[in-house]
Amino acid sequence: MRVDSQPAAFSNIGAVNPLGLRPKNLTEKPLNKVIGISIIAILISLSAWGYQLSQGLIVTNMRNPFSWGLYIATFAFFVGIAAGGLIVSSSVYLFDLEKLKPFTRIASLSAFASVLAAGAMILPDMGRIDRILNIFFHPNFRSPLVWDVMVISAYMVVTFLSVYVQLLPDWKSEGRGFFNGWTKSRSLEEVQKFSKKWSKRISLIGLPFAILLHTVTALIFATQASRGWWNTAILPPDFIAVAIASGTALVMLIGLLVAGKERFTEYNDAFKILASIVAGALVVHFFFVFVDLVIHGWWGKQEAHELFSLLFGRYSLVYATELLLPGFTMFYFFSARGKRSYQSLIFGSVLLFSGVFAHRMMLMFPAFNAIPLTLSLPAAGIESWAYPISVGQLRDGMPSFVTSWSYVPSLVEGLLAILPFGIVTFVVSLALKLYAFLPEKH
Amino acid sequence: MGKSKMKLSRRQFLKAATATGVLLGGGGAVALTQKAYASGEVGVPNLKTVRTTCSPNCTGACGMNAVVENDQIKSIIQAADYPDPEYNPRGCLKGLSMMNLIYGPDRLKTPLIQKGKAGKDELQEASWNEALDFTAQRLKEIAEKYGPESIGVAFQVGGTGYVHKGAFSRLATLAGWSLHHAYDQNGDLPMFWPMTFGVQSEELEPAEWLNSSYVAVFGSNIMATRLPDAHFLVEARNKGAKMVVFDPNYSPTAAKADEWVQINGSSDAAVGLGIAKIIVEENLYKADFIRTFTDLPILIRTDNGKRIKADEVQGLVKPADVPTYREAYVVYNGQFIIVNPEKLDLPLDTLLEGEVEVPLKTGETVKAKPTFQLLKESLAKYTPEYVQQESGIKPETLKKVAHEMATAKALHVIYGASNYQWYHGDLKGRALALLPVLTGNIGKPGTGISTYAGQYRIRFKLAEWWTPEGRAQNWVPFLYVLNGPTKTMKAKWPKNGIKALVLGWGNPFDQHNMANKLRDMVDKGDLELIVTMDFQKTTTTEYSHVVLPAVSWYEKTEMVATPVHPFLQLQQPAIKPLYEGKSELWIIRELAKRYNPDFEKYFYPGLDENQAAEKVIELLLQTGGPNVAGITLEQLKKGPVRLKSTVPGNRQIPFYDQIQNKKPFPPVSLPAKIEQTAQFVKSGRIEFYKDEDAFLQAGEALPTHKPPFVESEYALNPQAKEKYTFAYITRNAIYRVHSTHSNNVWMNELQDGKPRVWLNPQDAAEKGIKEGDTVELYNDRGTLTVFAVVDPGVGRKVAVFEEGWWARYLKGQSYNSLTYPFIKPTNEVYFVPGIWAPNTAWNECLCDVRKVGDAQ
Amino acid sequence: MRLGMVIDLDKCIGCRTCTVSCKSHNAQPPGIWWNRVFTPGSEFHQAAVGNDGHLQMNFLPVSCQMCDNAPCEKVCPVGATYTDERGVVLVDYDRCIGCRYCLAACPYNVRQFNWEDPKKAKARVGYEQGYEYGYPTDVRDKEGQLVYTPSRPVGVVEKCTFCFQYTSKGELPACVRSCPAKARFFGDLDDPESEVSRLIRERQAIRLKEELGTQPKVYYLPASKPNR
Ligand SMILES: Nc1nc2c(c(=O)[nH]1)N[C@H]1C(S)=C(S)[C@@H](COP(=O)(O)OP(=O)(O)OC[C@H]3O[C@@H](n4cnc5c(=O)[nH]c(N)nc54)[C@H](O)[C@@H]3O)O[C@H]1N2
Ligand SMILES: Nc1nc2c(c(=O)[nH]1)N[C@H]1C(S)=C(S)[C@@H](COP(=O)(O)OP(=O)(O)OC[C@H]3O[C@@H](n4cnc5c(=O)[nH]c(N)nc54)[C@H](O)[C@@H]3O)O[C@H]1N2
Ligand code: SF4
Ligand code: SF4
Ligand code: SF4
Ligand code: SF4
Ligand code: SF4
Ligand SMILES: [Mo]
Repeated sequence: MRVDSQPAAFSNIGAVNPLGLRPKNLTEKPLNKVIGISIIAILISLSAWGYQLSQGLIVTNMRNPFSWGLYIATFAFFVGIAAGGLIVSSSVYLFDLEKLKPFTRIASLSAFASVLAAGAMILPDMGRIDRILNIFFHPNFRSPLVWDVMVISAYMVVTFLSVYVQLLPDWKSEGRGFFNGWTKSRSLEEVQKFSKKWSKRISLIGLPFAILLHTVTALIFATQASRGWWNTAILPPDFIAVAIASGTALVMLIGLLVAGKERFTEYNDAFKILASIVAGALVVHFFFVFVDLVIHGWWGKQEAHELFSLLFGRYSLVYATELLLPGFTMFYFFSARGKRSYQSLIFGSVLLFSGVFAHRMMLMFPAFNAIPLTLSLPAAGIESWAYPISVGQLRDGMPSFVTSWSYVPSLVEGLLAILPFGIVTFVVSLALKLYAFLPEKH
Repeated sequence: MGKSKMKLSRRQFLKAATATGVLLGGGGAVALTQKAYASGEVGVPNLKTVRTTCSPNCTGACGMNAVVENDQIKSIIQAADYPDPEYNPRGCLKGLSMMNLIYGPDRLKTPLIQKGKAGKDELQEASWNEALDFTAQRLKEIAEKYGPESIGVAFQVGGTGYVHKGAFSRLATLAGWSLHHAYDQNGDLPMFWPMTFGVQSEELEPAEWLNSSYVAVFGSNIMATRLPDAHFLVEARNKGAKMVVFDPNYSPTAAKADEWVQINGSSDAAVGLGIAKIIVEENLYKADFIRTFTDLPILIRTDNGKRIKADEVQGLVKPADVPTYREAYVVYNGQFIIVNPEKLDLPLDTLLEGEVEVPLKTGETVKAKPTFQLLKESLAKYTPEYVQQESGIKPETLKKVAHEMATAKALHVIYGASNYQWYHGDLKGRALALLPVLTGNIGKPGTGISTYAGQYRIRFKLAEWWTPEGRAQNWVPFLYVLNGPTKTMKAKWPKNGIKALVLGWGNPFDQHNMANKLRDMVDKGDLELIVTMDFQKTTTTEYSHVVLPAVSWYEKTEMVATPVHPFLQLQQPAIKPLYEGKSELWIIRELAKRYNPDFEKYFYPGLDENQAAEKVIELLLQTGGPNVAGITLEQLKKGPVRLKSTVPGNRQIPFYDQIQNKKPFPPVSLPAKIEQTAQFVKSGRIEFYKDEDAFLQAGEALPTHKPPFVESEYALNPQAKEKYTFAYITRNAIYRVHSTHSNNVWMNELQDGKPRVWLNPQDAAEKGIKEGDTVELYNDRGTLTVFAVVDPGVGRKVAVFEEGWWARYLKGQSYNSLTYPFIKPTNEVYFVPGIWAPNTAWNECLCDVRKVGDAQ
Repeated sequence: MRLGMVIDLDKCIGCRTCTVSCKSHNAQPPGIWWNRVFTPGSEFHQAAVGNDGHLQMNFLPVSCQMCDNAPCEKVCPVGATYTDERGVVLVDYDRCIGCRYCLAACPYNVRQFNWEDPKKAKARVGYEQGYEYGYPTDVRDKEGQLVYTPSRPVGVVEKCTFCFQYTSKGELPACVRSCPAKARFFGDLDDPESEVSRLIRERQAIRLKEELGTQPKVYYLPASKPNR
């Protein structure tokens, strides 16, 4: 059956295409195109990186008062979607959602690709990438960043393994693949049993890892009492909620593209479940958002006033994007209409991604534009006065000290931030091209 | 570096820490430092520290250690080696960032010659020989054509460099050129001093502030303009002295004071006289003191307002021993008594109030009143209500401070430069002088009235170096160059006027370009030659025909003593001159021999520039008189040495001798001779009554209050009253010494590189101006583009600008194009260079403000 | 020994001399300032604060607060930021990977990043060819960590070191030596006899953002004037 499924598998692969359009004839061409595009994307971002390395981070629009920007936000975004994978595949076993079973491979693949991308995105943000190994030579175990490095690496291994074991049977039967010499001596059945058993085990240990990944990543921010916007216990659980939503959405999106319109109905129920997971996770997320705002706002501290003026004033547009788009997706995916069609699901997911990306950017704006060293001078009737920060660059007509920094990523940052997108697309499309990820129903 | 180096013993730190204490200053720290630098221990580079003296025109004269590594200054830190530790550590942000000027992009590298139009075309690099030959040639031509006196020379504050500035004076004297005295040119000459005390100026040394019990600051921003000494004022306050600041604007000094009394611009005379009225009417004055030391008992004719001379009165003869420059007047205590101007010994029952009939030798009898009586009458109008109307001060506040001052154990009045840089600055000073005098607060520790403008008082005799062979000098007050000569002037105006300027240590094309006159005179060709010595490119060098690269105080040998603190110090070369820079002595010697070969011998020919400078220092020390008696060059190389004075412990307390030892006023003001200055106070006493005709005509025989602008701006242009309602007040910034450090990159970072105007919030609102907006200050004479600071501490209808910005930072406009060179007739009654001369009134200037752009 | 600093806000006249001596003696590149002095409440330094006649103008110097419980040190993934045995928080310029986590962590915004090669920045200012200001040679602690270097590597953070190059030799920090108002004091907080300890005892010293529990070793003596 594998054999005759082969062309079918490939034909679906043909559906993978950024625009989601289905080509007339089912060949590998479109997939090659995607691979090509992703390679170009990667090359562009790498050359941007090269330029940044030659000039220093001065080519970004980050400065002392706003020292983390697009790179870290994008990193957080990909860490987020990396979760979905293992969460889906593990829930298959935990709550044995038979219907989702066909998606476990895609799930693992998307997780692996995303965490790889996240890892890649961190690097250009380092001022001294040449010293990156210091993290291993001189790790400071009190630093959440070190925990994160560990978890991310572990997560990479786990997600890779889970892809690996699920592909083993195919490889056995097709007599290809890698790291699978040891299967030679075993029969296909044995290998399939092995694969089944270990897929399950890995998914199960994968779940806590996924949770950990987000908790730790959230802790990088949440531990910092200097930044009121981050310093809340709600951040980690909310990270998880958002991760489940966006991660699952990614699995669904890839699934949709692989399945294509004509096999959509085949997996309709599975997609329905995925959509519901997304919507459900969003409910939790919005609950956290709400609670967070109430807690920030109720006491009415001056800091809160500033925070709100940033959220609903200066950055209201980004904030609206962060709230409204996923908000829409949530209702849409609960509604029958939203779950119904191929397009609607793609549409909903895309909105969600944009919203989540905005959400990640909004990690930065309110955090950095509320100066930690803000004083109140009751004697002068001044409730809050921010102590000016030295910018870190001397430029004509630009003050050397500021109390806020209107950060907009520079072109170089923009181009460099394509890197993770390129990587995800490349890894996924290449994997899809090489192997079958959505088994035929029978 | 080894463990031993890392570990600090507790003792070491105790030492270091206490070293920063109020008493020891950085002294202890430096001890540690020099040890550390000296010991060429491993890890420590071979640094040497050279002790020199920072001496720009702030006249702070702070001892500095330059930390030098292979002939480059790496950093600068206070030497903090003053023998009186309370003076350590002297210094400020500008002095510590001199590297930015020494090694900065505006440093002059070679001589420059203007081959085209000055101020328009690029200056061309030239060799020293070219430049010097050219300069000498042009100067000779001009001297031949218009007479040598048509060449004007200006070299700023003498005290910041007696050797090189002396060389300048020496050449000018030999060549018969005209000299412009910096004191009046800068507007720093407080004319009340010669008028009231017969001196150029006097001040308590800052350490004496600690002995005051009441400090009344009238418009002096000590916390910004006396940075190295400011701590004495805070310490005095914390010791219990009351500190009150009278100022239209809330300044850092006001912030540290017990009280800030906001008053209108140039209304200080009204305030002072209001206080004097209360002191007089409530008999809070020291009658015996004023009888003994002032002219207040002296009889004044009520018909013509003249003081009655002994020679005019029946039965009285002027004592034979009265010098010609003095006069014997008359007082009354039942009979008429001759006031011997050489003695301060009037009977204590001398009449102060009332009227007497005086029989004159002419046979007629005239009515006369003691000066005090007239003063009392003239004070009548200064009721708290009137004073409030003029100054805005509340009557109860006025009464309170009056009583506090009258009862203070030691009252010290500080009279700020900005405050007397108004048309009626002399009147304000005379009025304020009444406060310490009426209350007997003169000549005692922590008392008196002081002015801390750029400190010009010469500390010892200079003649041997400055005026060769005692030759005559032609002094021409600079205001006449800008304003043109007046009918009433006493100074001698060159028959062809000033045709060339030879400049050093100054940047007049920003700092003295009133009403844009200097630029215009260069454009029109009235000034045919401008020669400037500076170590960096300034607005003035741009307008010069020849620019000669000089060197900073880290590249030459010099001797410094400015009155703001009582120490004699050296400037010593820490590095070789950069590029082709040369010290002024060298430049002048080269110029002199080209101008006239006979002159060379006057400038130690054959000696290298630093050796020559040392020779001059030795000469000055040998011939400098009592104040430097016994001080040697070797001593100075070891560190600063306190100058001698007639006060026990060589303290600097004005008029100590006059009060304690009843010596007649005035004490000598060097370099002038006593006969030149004693004529200002002919009675030999502190004088509040001036009966010279100019004073009588102006109605200023006694201190009185006159509102600003009436005799100046409105007289010049009656429309000004409606058109320009903002007072353009230019104060000093902590970031510059006038225009020096305008281009200091760090200073500009600290100000976001933006010239600003400080405005009152209400005024700003009325003009639609917000914080950071681009605004224009303008009047008929000029326009200034700056950024707005909306400051609740700024008084109504004033536009405060921090002076000194180069035109480069003001769209090419010089900020002085708004001001005008007014000359006040009473400043022309006598002429003694830099002592009694027309003083510039920077703040006597009206403008309007308009918004031109939003804040970015 | 726990080195600490005391700043007397009553004596501080806001002259920014410490700002400048710090900048020059520690060779800070253009745009980088370890030691800032501002007028709390005011848009522009030394402009009055308040309204209708009730004005004030106080000055607050802020450099690294040398926290005993230093977030910057805890977040540093590679231990480039560490506290030496004298209680001084330092950065090893050789080890820093430029992640800027410490910038986010420091509640006092005293940390500065070298966004570009300082040499380029200085060249733009136009100093004489090759001129470098500041203490001229590298300084390493006894473990050999590079805690000072006159021209910083691009991509690393820097901040106040309590003038390691001087204080490790028993000299006082540049800011303390240069303060013309004698408002700054430096010494051993563990030594009850030291002047810093005495001042902290006698003058109700306060610390910035006490509530964050960073336990700074820089103390401020409140302006005495209001209570006179
Ligand atoms: N940092 C620094 N220090 C300096 C100098 C420098 O350039 N920079 N220059 C030095 C020199 S040469 C001089 S002359 C001195 C000058 O120093 P100061 O005598 O202190 O003069 P300013 O700083 O110009 O102004 C001081 C105050 O006078 C107030 N003022 C203006 N007009 C009036 C008035 O009519 N009445 C009253 N009561 N107050 C008034 C202003 O509001 C201001 O607050 O500073 C010396 N010190
Ligand atoms: N409107 C307005 N105008 C004012 C004032 C004001 O308050 N308002 N203030 C007035 C006052 S009080 C004063 S004192 C004057 C000051 O006026 P200036 O003294 O002309 O101004 P500075 O900027 O001090 O000029 C000093 C120049 O000498 C150079 N220099 C420094 N050291 C040396 C040296 O060793 N050798 C040589 N050859 N050159 C050297 C510096 O580079 C600088 O260019 O400005 C006056 N102008
Ligand atoms: S600029 Fe004036 S006050 Fe500052 S250090 Fe030099 S001499 Fe002293
Ligand atoms: S140097 Fe001293 S007085 Fe000046 S700002 Fe710094 S601490 Fe305050
Ligand atoms: S002030 Fe900031 S940099 Fe300094 S120790 Fe504390 S947290 Fe670290
Ligand atoms: S930037 Fe350097 S010092 Fe700061 S946390 Fe990262 S590695 Fe540590
Ligand atoms: S101790 Fe040294 S490094 Fe720290 S602020 Fe003072 S001068 Fe700067
Ligand atoms: Mo002056």
